Amino acid sequence: MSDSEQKGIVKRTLSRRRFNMIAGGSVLLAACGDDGDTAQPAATTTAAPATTTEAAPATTTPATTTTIAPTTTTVAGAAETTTTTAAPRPLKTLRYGYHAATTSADTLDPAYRTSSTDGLFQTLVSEQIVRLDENLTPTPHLAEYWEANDTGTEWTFKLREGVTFHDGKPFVAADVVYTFQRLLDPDVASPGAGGLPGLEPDGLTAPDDHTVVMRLTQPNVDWPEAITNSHTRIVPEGATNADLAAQSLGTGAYRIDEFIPGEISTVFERNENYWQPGFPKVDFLEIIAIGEAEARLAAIRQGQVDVLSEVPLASLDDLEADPDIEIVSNPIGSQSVAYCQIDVPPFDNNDLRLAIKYATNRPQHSDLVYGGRAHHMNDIPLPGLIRFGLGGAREHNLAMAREHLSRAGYPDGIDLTLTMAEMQDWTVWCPVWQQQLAEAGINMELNITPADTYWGDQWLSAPFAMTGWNVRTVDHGLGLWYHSEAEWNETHWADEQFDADLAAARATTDEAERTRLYHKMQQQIIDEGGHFVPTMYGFYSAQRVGVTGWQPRGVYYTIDIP
Amino acid sequence: MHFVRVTGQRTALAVIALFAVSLITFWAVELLPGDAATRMLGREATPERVAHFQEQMNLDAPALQRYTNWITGFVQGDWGESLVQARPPTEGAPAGRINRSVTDIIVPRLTNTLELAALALIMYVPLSLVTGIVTAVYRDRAFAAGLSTLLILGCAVPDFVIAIFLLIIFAVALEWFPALSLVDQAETFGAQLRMMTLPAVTLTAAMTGFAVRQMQASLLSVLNSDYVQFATLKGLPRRRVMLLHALPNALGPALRATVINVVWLVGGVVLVEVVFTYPGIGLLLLDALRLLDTPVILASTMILAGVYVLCNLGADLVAAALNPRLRTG
Repeated sequence: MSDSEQKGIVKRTLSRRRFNMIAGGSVLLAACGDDGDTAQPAATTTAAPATTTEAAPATTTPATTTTIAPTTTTVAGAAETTTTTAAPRPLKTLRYGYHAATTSADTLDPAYRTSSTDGLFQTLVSEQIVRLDENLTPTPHLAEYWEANDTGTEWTFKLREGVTFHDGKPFVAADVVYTFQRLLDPDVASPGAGGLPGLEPDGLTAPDDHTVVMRLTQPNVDWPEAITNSHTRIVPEGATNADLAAQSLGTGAYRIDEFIPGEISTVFERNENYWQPGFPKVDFLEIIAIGEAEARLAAIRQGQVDVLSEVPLASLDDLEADPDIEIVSNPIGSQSVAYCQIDVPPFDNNDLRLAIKYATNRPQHSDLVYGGRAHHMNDIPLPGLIRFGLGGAREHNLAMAREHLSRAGYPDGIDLTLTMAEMQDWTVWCPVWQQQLAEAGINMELNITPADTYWGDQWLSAPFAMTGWNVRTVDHGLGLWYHSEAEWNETHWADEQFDADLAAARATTDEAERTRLYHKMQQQIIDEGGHFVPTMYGFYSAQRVGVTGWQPRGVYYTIDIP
Repeated sequence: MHFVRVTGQRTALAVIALFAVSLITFWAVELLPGDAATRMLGREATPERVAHFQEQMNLDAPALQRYTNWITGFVQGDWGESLVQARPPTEGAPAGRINRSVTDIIVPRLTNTLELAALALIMYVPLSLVTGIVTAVYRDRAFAAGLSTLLILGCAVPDFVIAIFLLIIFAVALEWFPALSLVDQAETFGAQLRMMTLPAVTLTAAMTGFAVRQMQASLLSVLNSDYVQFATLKGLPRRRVMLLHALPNALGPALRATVINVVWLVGGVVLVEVVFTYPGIGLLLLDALRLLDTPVILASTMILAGVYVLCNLGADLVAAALNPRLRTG
């Protein structure tokens, strides 16, 4: 994009009624092509582990006593840190096409993140003290390092100095204490409260301005991982709901003065005071949310956007053939999942569940639903690609399926009803699976219900229904879906030993023992659980040739932010 | 005087109709499953959170009371605040949730939609006039028959299909026009016009077919009428017969068709805005419906219904003014 064009955009944006932008820098790797950077090969991710000490920003305090590198930048970020400080330089704008429409309920307040667009915007303007890297391993961010006592009940986080909020206020420990206390406050009613087991408001203290101590009522050796849930982005002490919803008030790389929910295009401005040297790489980041699939494709082909966050499967081959466009992918993506409630007949019989699992033809499912691009899964929404993940994929075996079906008491087949809605990829996913099960004598009818009210009316109440999950860390996922008291325990899994194993895995620092326990729990779900997960579809993004320095991320709700 | 009485009656009826629209819309939204709180929370909707949100949105008040509050404000020009859309705090504002006013939300979107509708009408009027005359006058020629077929096709193909075809051909394949109609970001008037072209053409295509068919039929009957035959026999030039004698008498049905078209535009614009990602009131209404944001739904519906009612009222009054039989009731 030319200089004048960019200035034009800026001018126009400022002059036209609904835009007001502020600055910010990208935590994750952002860059736009035309600044003379040589085009890097678009990284197909999961490659290098992201923790490289060389790439670490010059921190103000030396990190001490820790096994964890002070900070991370991602692969691309490490390679190009030179372009920032030159005096007069052309303004750069990255136009980022997002694959879902914004809604007027979008908010910048991390306590109330409910949609993927919320997640996207919040990733730009605010930050966590700990974040997940590409392999879903917790990595220091606004915290420089942490220490735990021997039992994993008391965690001390040493915070980064020299970080400021968008309003100029320095970031200190009191902000961290306030952020977490706010999440736990029943009057705030944040969906994030449930993700902090064992943390009580008075368990948070700030011995000095750059130290936060969290005391837990139950041990958790992976507490840093637990606090990477998407609601824990740090807000300044005292900030109210009204302060946070529609203006950026974080420490993030980008900022915006007046955020207007539901706009198609939202322009974020670089945060001039951002703490990570070299970031953000662009002056303006324009997020263009495009709900219509045809328009999305036309936009990347024409160059109305530089990047398209997610390419519809049907168009992937076409875009790959386009010489102006590159496809960038990350195998860790999202999963459509069927669940059954294992305490409700006929699903209370594990032989039936096993019959369904054996009848599922994973390679064929990937071929027919995802053009052969999906990762084969093993009936648990946790892939083997992540830390502590077990993986594997049950062999398709119709004989075994029929045998288990007979043992369950249905030698002549069984009729089931799967509740779904016409949303996500279920319209293809479900019929393909239906055909596969039919071969084993499992006749599944599809009960199609209204999409608007699916999550409220059907999900969690229908005994056999569709659901969908982004990839979580193993510990988070096991706790979220299978703990007997979990709010989202859709399969009604309730096993005292399982709960005890989960607690034990959270209480031991012995990595081998933790791996053993996590694998044992996953194996138990694979063999007896009520989830049916044939495949996981990765993130496929598209970028115009010449755009470099960013990549799609598999991390829950921080996907893909330039 | 009769005319004054008719005007008064019709206006009163229009007001009653609008009132009925507001009542029906409000209760229809009430009947839909869920409310703004559950829609906003989605998967995170636990009973406690829903209750908390409902209290903040004042959704815990009885429906009748909420409707009465809304209509009282509405008639005084206060269209209320969105239930879901937040805005930054202003100096000295109280803590707690503050939302954008419906007026602030709607005005920019409505402006965009009106601009689009205006462009569509600017293209539509001369296009349908010329095509109507040409196809009627040269009805025996092959090209006129071809044109008529094309118009019937235009009527028959749903507008969203036309929209997607135009998008694929002119935006993706030929790259003549942008795929996203981001008119708020357009830097020049020319750029904005280019962004509006495809949506406007879609609307025009759907409207023109209908209007031309109407006009063609009435022109044909007028052309066969005695006075036109007589004018022709008298030796008047063909153009003069056409423009001075036939056309004025054939315009009535075309005007009625235009009123129907404008009324259709109100709904057609919603679909077209979705396909072309055009930031108008249609896209806004769709979003508000998904979230059950009642004040925005009500305001948008009242505006769209208002256009409908006003067009019909205007047509009625013009007809009454022109037609002695209707005028005397």
